[in-house]
Parts: sequence; C-alpha cells; structure tokens
Amino acid sequence: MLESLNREIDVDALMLRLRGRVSELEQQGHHELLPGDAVALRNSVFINSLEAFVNTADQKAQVRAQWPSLLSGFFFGSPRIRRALLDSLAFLFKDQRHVNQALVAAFRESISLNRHLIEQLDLLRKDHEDLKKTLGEVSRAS
Amino acid sequence: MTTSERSRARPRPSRAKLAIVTPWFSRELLGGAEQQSWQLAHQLATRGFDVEVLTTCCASFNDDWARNALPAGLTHSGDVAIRRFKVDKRDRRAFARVNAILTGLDRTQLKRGVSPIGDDDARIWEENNLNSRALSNHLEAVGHQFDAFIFMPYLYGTTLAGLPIVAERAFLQPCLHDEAYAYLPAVERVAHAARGILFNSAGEFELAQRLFGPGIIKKSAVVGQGVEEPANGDSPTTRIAHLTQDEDYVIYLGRQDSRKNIGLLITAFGDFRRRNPMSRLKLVLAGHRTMSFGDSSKGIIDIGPVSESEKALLLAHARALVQPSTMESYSRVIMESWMTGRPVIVNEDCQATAPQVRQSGGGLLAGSVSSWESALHQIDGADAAALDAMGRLGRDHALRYSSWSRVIEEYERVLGFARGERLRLAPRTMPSLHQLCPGGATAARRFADSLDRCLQRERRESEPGPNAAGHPLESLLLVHQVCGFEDVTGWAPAHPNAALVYHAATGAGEPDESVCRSILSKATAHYKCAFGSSPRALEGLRAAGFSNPGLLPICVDPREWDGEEDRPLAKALQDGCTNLVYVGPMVSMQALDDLLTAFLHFLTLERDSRLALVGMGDVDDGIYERLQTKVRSLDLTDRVLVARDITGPQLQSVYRTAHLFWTLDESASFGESLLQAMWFDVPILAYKTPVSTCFTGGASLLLNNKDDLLAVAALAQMLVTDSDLRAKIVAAQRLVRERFDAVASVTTLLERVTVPKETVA
Repeated sequence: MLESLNREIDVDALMLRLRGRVSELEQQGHHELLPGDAVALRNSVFINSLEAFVNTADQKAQVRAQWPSLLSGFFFGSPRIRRALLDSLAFLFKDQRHVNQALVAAFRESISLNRHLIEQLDLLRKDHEDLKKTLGEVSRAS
Repeated sequence: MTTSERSRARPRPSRAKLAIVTPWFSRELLGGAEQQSWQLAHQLATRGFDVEVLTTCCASFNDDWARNALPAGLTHSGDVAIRRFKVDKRDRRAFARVNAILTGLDRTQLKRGVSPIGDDDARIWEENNLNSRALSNHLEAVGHQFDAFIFMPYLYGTTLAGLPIVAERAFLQPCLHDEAYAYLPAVERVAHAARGILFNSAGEFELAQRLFGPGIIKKSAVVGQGVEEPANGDSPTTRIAHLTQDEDYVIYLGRQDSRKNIGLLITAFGDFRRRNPMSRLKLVLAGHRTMSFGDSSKGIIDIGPVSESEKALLLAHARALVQPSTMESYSRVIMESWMTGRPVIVNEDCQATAPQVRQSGGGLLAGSVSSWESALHQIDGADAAALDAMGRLGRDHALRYSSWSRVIEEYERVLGFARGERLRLAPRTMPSLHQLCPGGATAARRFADSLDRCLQRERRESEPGPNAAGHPLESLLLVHQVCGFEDVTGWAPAHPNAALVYHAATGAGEPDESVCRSILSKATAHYKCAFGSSPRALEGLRAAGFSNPGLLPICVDPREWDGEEDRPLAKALQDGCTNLVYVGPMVSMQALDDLLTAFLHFLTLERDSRLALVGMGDVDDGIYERLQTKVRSLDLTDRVLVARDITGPQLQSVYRTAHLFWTLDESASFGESLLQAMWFDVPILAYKTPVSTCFTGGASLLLNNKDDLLAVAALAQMLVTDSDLRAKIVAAQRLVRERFDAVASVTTLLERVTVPKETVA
C-alpha cells in the first residue's frame, strides 16, 4: 500500500504501525460506523462529534474533588483550606450542576433520536432507490 | 539622477566600502548583538574592507533611547570609522504600554504571518522605537557610496526605518529570536525588502524560514559568528576570589531578565537544593539586572555585571555554564564556555543553541523544570574528568565553527553578491525569450509564464557589468506543443534557436496519443532539441523519435514568495484546526471524491480538521462545480474550502499553514504543486503516479493502493501527528526540491539549446 525511497523511513515498520492503528480503530467500531456512502459517513462524523462535546460537558459537570494544580502558594497549601473551599464550591453550584446534568441528559436523548432518524432516513433512501429501479425496469418492460 | 543611476555612474573603488548600521556601538557594551557588531566591524576592517559604522548617540540599550549621551559626528576606532547620529524624541509611555503587551504574550499566542497586536499599536511601537531621522537622511544622501550595508539587529528603528531606504544593497543580520517582536508586520517587511539575510546559526535560519516563508531562502546565508577566546590572565578580584577558589558552582552569564527564562533556572535550582541538601553546588548569576534573583540561603549568588577578565576566570572555574533561554540566535557565552573547555546546559527548546549541543556533545539539554533539576544533579555528581571530556568536545566544535577567519570568509563570499558577483548564469547577458502556445492550453500558458518570469529574474539579478560577455544565443524560441490541442510545431519560422517543449495529456478526456505522436514525429526534423514537461511527456518524445529529450519541469522559484502573505487568511487558517491541503489540477472527479471520503474518515480521527482544495493549472469548470455542489450537499462548507485562481499571497497562506499536502490524483500533471509544497516544507502524501514519483524523488510517502480509505486517513493522521516522521520527510524533500530548482532548469535549457542539433533516431 505504501512506498517511499526515503532511507530514513522504515516502510515496513510504518506499515506495521498503520495496520495496528487500523485494527485498533476497527475494534473501536470504526468499521461498522463508517459505511462507504459519503452522506452516511458525514452524518456519523457529526453525530460522533456531538457526542464528544457532550462527553466533555458531562465530565466538567461533575463535582470537583481535586484541587487544581495551577492554584498553589502559601494560602492554598493547607489541605483543610483546600477541602473547605472545594466543599463551598460544591454547595454554591449545586443548582447549576443539576441544570447542567439535565441539559447533558437532554442532549444525549437528542443525539440518540438523531441517530435513529438518520438510520430511518437511510432506509427510506434505499427504499426510494429500489423503487426507482423497479419502476425503471417496469417502464422498460412495458 | 536616482540612487541606482548615480551608483552605476561612479567608478568602483578598489576596496569594498561597507556600512554596519546598529543602534548602539561601543567596546564596553556586553549584549550579544552589540559585541558582535563591534567585533565584526573590526574584523572586516582588518581583512581590508573600508568599514564605517552608522549608529546613534544613544549610549546603550539600558539608557534612555531619546537621550543623546554621546556626541554626534565622526570618530575612529582603529581602521573603523564611527559616525553617530542624534536620536529622535519619542513617547516613552506609549511605547512602554505596547511593549508590555508584546512581552506579556505567551509563545502559544504567536502565529506566523499574524501581527500579535493591532495595527494602531504596531504603528505606535514603530514610531516610538529607537529612531534617528538624521541617520535615515544620511542613508538617503550617501547610500550610493557604499557597496553594502549590514543592518543589525532586527527590532530597532535604525533597521526598520533605515533598511528600506537602501534595500537594493542592504543585508539584514537579524539576530532573530522566537519572540513577539519577530511577528510584527514591520519586521517581515524588512526581511522581504533586504537584498540578503545573514544568520548566526542554522537554528536562526530555520526560525526565519518559519516566520517569513521560503521566499527568503535563496537570499539567505548562515555566516556564523566569530568568538574570541576569553582572555584569562589576571588574578581574581576580591569579590570573585572566594568563588573561584572555594566553591563548586554552575554559572549563568548574561542579562538577568525574565525574557531570558531565568525563572525556570531559579525554580529548578531551588528544587535541586531541596532534594539534595548536602550538595555544595551553587548557582552564580553574572550580568546586568533590574532586580536581583540572588538568595544565599538557597545557594544562589548574584554578582551583577562582570568584566571580561572576571568572566574568563569565572568560566574557567565553573563546573558548567547554564543557558535556560529559548530566545537566542546564537549565544556567544556558550562558545566562550566551550573555548574555556567547560560544558554547558542549554534549553532543548531553543532552536539556535540546542542543535549545537546535540551536534557537539559538549553539554546537556533540558526543557522542563524536572529535567533541568536532573541535569544539575548530573553536573553536580560528575567527576572532573567527565566534565572536562564534555568541555573538550565543546571546544572542538567552537574552534571549528566560531573562528573569525572562517566567519569572515563567509561574509566575503556573501557580500561579494553585492558587488555584482551574483551571476549564476553569468558573466553573460540572458538571451531574449519568445514562446508560442496553442490557444486555450491554460497549463502550458502557466508553464511558459513561469519560465519567462524566471529568466527575467535571472536577467535582473545577474546585473552584467561592462565586461560581461553576451550569451551565445541572442534569442530563443520555445514552441509548446500540448497533447490534445492544435499542432503548433509548424508555427516556428526558420528560427535558428527554436526548441520544442512537449506537454503530455493531464487526464482530461485522454486525447488520442497516436495523433500526438504523429505531430511529434513530423517535428523531429525541425527542432534543434526538445524537452518534456513531465516524465510522461518525455516518454512521448522518445516514442516519437527524439533521441535525447530533456526533462524541463515547470519553474517553481521560491523567490516569487519573497513578499508578505495574506494576513487575514493566515489568521483564519491558524484557528487550531489541522489543515490538509490539495493544490493542483481539477480534472478528475474520482480523485476528488476519494479525497473527500478519506477526509471524512480523517474527521472521525481528528475532529478539528480542515481540507483546502485549491484548483491550479487545468481546472475543469464542470468538475469544479460538481465539487462545490458535493461539499454543500454534505454540509461540509465549514470544513472544506474549495477555491481556484487564488492570488500569490493567498497561496502562500494556504501552504504556510498546511500540515499535510494530500493528493489521491491518478492523472498526470506538471507536478508544480508538489514542488511548491516541498518549498513550503509541507510533507506530501500522494498517490503513486509517474509524476509524483518523479517530482517527490522518493522523499515523500506514496500510496500504491487507495482501496482502504480508512487506512489512508489513518496514515495521514500519523503524518500530521508524528513529528519525527514529518521531520524525516521534510528533510528529504528539501534535498529533492533543489534538483528541480528554477535556476537549474533555466541553466539546463540554455545549455541544451546551445549544443549542436540533436540526432534523430
């Protein structure tokens, strides 16, 4: 699949890496997720992209339990002060956290619905193409 | 009479007259650029140059830049004439405000081709820099009397305002650092305006190519920097006697400034001392400072500025020199340390110093705080023999690359260009070129235009003097025959120096090869010699009966990009996305379809990515429209840019921001875009065709199978993310592009046309 006359590049080792990477992607479900049709492929790219955004939001919506490494110094050095500040933050933003979690859940539902609709659309498109083909054959026969 | 007319009219002096233009000039100044300009002026004068230094009355970098502390006028230092000019008044506060913004910017915020500050602030920075209107007036008045000017360093008004006045004979010695100032539009303007650019190190040249693009490559040279061995003869002064006799220490020499990354060194040394409380190792800081970092309880000793003899003694007794700065264009102290036989620890992220340490083995590299701590631990634990061995390696390197005699030879070679020796095809005048192309053959027209531009540029730059010989050919006629277009081979009148350039089909409609062959067969009798514009064209010529046709690829001359790029586009394309680029003919929808599908796969691997599809050369209107429709129907308009006939500055921005040049095209083309990508150091991933094999010369990655587009996308991702793989490809591509150098192409053309008529097989 791959060629290079560049002496610095070990093509065999690169191919081995590439095969490893492709099989890793296939194990992650890329093969099933990525049909040959460009429209379906594009749709799955965007749904995956939305899912990645929601995962990031979900991660950031959790209660912070660890002190940020960037905030250090004398005042923030004490574990007691850190604990107290983290608890206060958790208490202050409790309502906001609930709102965030509800929004994340709503987005997940929306993504699932979109995925379902795309599948339905795909089926309809295939039916439509089959029907067009059949009609064409019938009109040619008559 | 214009400056150039006056220059042509006057008789050439026996000695070359050089001017060094620099903001401050004195033996006592310890800054790197200041010491360099002092030593350079005197070394050039010693070698017989008539040297005049044009500088200001301002005493030093640390003085008020609006105060004329030194008298204006002419003085002498040995054979060097020093002419000082009064500095202008300036709004110090406005400058300080803008300067604070610039120095406060993180390196990650800096984008090439994009000004780090707004236009108004950039103007304030320029207008209130260290400027001297008197110096500029002098340059305008007497500029023609000098053979060459060396402007150094890059970031002061003496260079930014002075260089454009004498740009035709101006050499910029920028002493460039990867800092916010280097990204200002005024700096890029002088880099493009200068006749030549001189660099202290290969790393500095690399940085300049990254900042200003490949347009500067042909006019640049790495001249190096001479360093004199520190004079070590005096007995130690009282304040350093106890250090040199009793202490184990590593030494930092230079301005103690946060911009020199001294904070990293202090933190790392603090960590080292905390973890090694029994260590006797101390950190000695020597040099000017506005605030002291010294803390004897932590083993940090600040001794402030030191004399040359003190510096030599301190270096001789140190365990190692430490240089944490990433903003160096050379670092003289490293060479001085090596000359004294002491090893160094330098920042692995510094493009100028790190490669030298890697190459010489004369020290250690460190980047993060922990790696600096570990390097300090290594130096502390090493025995004297190990440190001496490292120091010896460094000394060998310094003696080889930093001797003044070698450096001045380089200056002589480069400055020779300014005295009319830049004749690669000379000393001969160029013949006039006439070309014939069939109507509608767009790609052949581009080819002809590029050749014409290249020949014109050579004609301009060769500047033949009174003794220059005329070329054996007075005029040259090139007839471009394109497969699939009308027969133009008979158009050539009985021209004594006519040559045929054949362009094979590029895949559009695949015209009948046998028709092309019969046209060429008839032409064999009429043409002195023939050239193919691609490997396929070469085959066609051989098949038609030309016995020894030459390959004449399209002229891709990086000097065409010696100008500013499209700044708004450069900014838009540097938004954090990975930029994949295809530039070239659009004659195969299948190839573009494959590329789009592979890009969709790529998007599943790298979400923040963009594909730029730029039509150049043969662009089929129908295919271009279909491509646009497809991109719209896939709702990919924000991820895929489709364009054609873009301007030169726009093309520069596309290439300079590209992470990968990607083509799955199976058709034959001129390979122009492959050559362009190589000049912009963009790694290429292409489908294997005779064209891609020929023009990438095996340096790039070629696909012989594109059935599995997921695998193709995964390979593209590896090329984008694996910096080691990218570096190997780019290094090999740099060698290949030289083979297709535009000047070499023109030389080949002229040499072949002047040989006797070819024998027809």
